[in-house]
This record gives sequence, structure tokens and C-alpha cells, in this order.
Amino acid sequence: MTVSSFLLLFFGGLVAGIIGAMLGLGGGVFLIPFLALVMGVPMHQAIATSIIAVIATSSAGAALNVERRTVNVRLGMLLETATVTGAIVGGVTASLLSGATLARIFSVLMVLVASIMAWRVLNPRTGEDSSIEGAPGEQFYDEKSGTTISYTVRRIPAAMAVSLVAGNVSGLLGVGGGIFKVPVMNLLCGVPMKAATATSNFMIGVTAAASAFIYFSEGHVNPTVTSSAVLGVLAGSFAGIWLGRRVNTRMLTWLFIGVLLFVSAELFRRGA
Amino acid sequence: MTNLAQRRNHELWIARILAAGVWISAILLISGLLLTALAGPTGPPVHNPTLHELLIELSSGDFFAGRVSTGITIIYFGLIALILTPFFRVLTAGLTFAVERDWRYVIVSTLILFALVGELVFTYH
Repeated sequence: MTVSSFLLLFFGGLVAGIIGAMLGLGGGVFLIPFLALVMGVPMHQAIATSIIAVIATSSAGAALNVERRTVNVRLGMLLETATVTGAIVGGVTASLLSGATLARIFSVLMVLVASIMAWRVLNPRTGEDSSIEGAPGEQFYDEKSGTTISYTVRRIPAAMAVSLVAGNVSGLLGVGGGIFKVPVMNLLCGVPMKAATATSNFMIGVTAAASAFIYFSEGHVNPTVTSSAVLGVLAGSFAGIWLGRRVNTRMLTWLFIGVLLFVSAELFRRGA
Repeated sequence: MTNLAQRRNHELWIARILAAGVWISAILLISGLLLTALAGPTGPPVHNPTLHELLIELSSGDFFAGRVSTGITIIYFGLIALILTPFFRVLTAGLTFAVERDWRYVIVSTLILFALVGELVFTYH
């Protein structure tokens, strides 16, 4: 691998990590098209790289969030029973599909992600839900408001059903699945957004690990490509956390939605 | 069940495991890339080894002089360390639940671990 290739891969991972950390995504929706369209990496290798990068961002972010006590570890583990199952099925399925087919499915996912992001920008959740229902729940100290937020968790079976699907998408397409998991926990389970994001971040690493060895065993992990991109994603994640506190993400979100739609069309065209 | 403060202390161990896994992996990846760069071109690119092929290569002792160079080997160790971090995350969570005598979540953690290890064994070829 040449120095220029390393720098390009590192830069691609860096941007993916920054965008992911600032917008609450794993970065896979940017990283995979970058690897496939710009670097010419075969689709299965791009997905394998993204899967491992998701583990990196999840582990780095989760370490911080667990320490800050915003992660609902019990809820995350409960939903993981469904997500891991879905991820294993997704990973096995991906090994049976061609790269072109995966590219087309991924382009559809990008449109879905763009739609969800647009909906979230147009329907912001203001303030945190806080209630003490009497049933066992969870609580965390919110630094921004200076209060302790308590909440109860509802509709676990429905959340597990959606988690199964999210895990399947993760294993099949190499994304973290947080774009589905966060709304599920927030809207279905009644978990405050900050805790839902932190818990999702905690979960996506385990979900990705469930399918990572499948890609490894199929020989889809390119060591120099993956390591370069993963190091960039790690650096970008930390930079994104720092930038996220200083930059208005609303404009960035709309810009990213536009990029997602454009790249989706290009990826679909290439897959034809 | 133990009190909230004790649970929080247990969860800090999970945070430490995660951070340690990331740092160990990053160091190995950087070291491997540097060694690979210093080694220079090593001939025609070989296919990406499967996990099985990688372990056979390592067990034969030829990884310093064989198809898989030292730098590439260290990179693979770094990637495997990173992939295993969530495994240890689940294991640590299960152990903390056991200390707290929260047996329901011990079972949940065990199920997840079985699924992860089972997938590893099933796909190893």
C-alpha cells in the first residue's frame, strides 16, 4: 500500500468518524460508499472494513458513556439477544449475495437513513422525558440540565422485534444500526434521547462483532485497508465528539442528507 | 440486588475493558502499518487469508518469513483484539450481574456470549 493510499483511507475514515460522532451515526453510511466508489474496494471488503470500524467507534464512545453513566446496560443487553441473532443471519446472507446486489440494497438503505434523519430534524424532541412510574427503571445525571433524569422502559417485545431487523441490516450491510435503534428506544421504550444514543452506541459494537468473524472467515478483511480506515475512524470519533459541542449540527445534517441521496444514486447505478 | 452506587462501580469496569481494548488495538494497528511500510513492497499481493488460514500460518511459525509478513500479522492481531473487545464487554457485564446476583441478566449475557462464540466456531473454516 502506498503512502497516498494510506492517507486517503485514513482521511475517509476520519471524515466518517467525525460525521458519525456529530450526527449520532456509526459512520458506515459514509465509509462504505467512500471505499467502494472512491477507493475501488470490493463491496464485501468495504462492508467488512465498516463492520470493524463500527466496533472501534462503539468501543471508544461506549467507554466514555458508561463512565458518564448514561448507558442503560441492562436494556442494551436485553435488546442485544435479538440484535445479535439478526446480525448473524445478516452476515451469513451477505456472503451468499453478490457485491452488486449488496451495493443496490445499501443504496436503498441510504435513502431510508436520509429520510429518518430529515424526519428527526423536522420533528425535534425538546427536553428529556422524565417520570417515575413505580416500576423498575433507570436514571442518569444530565450534565447539561444539572438534573437527575429518571425513566421507565416500556414495550420491550416490540423493541426486540425491531432490534432483530436492525441487527440483520447491520450484519448484511456493515452499518451499526443505530439509526434504527435510537428511535426505537426513544419512541417505543420511552428512553430519553441522550440515554438512547449512549445505549445504542454501547450495543452496536456487540452487534458488529456478531458478524465480523463471518466476514473474516470468508477472507473479506483486507488488513492494510481496514487498519488505515479504522485508525481514521477512531481519530474522527474523538474529534467529532469535541466538534459536536461547538458546531450547530442542523445545517451539517441537511448537507449530509443531500450527500447521502446523491451517493445513493451513484451506488445504485454502479450496482446495475 | 446491590445499591445503585455499587452497580455504577461495576459498570466502570466495563468502561475500562472497552478503553483498554481500543488502545491495545490502536497500538497494534499503528505498529503493524509502520512495519509494513518499512518492509517495502513484498511482491504480488496475496489474497486476504481467512481466519483458519491465518491461524495455520501462525502455528507453522513461518509468519516472519512466509506469505504473511510481520507487519501484516501484527495488524491482524490488532483487528482481532478490536473484534474481541465486545466479547469481553459482554463477559464483564455478565460477571458484574453475577456479583450483583441479578441472575436474569446473567442468563441474558450468557445467551449473547453463546451466540457470539457459536458464530465464531460455526464460521471457522
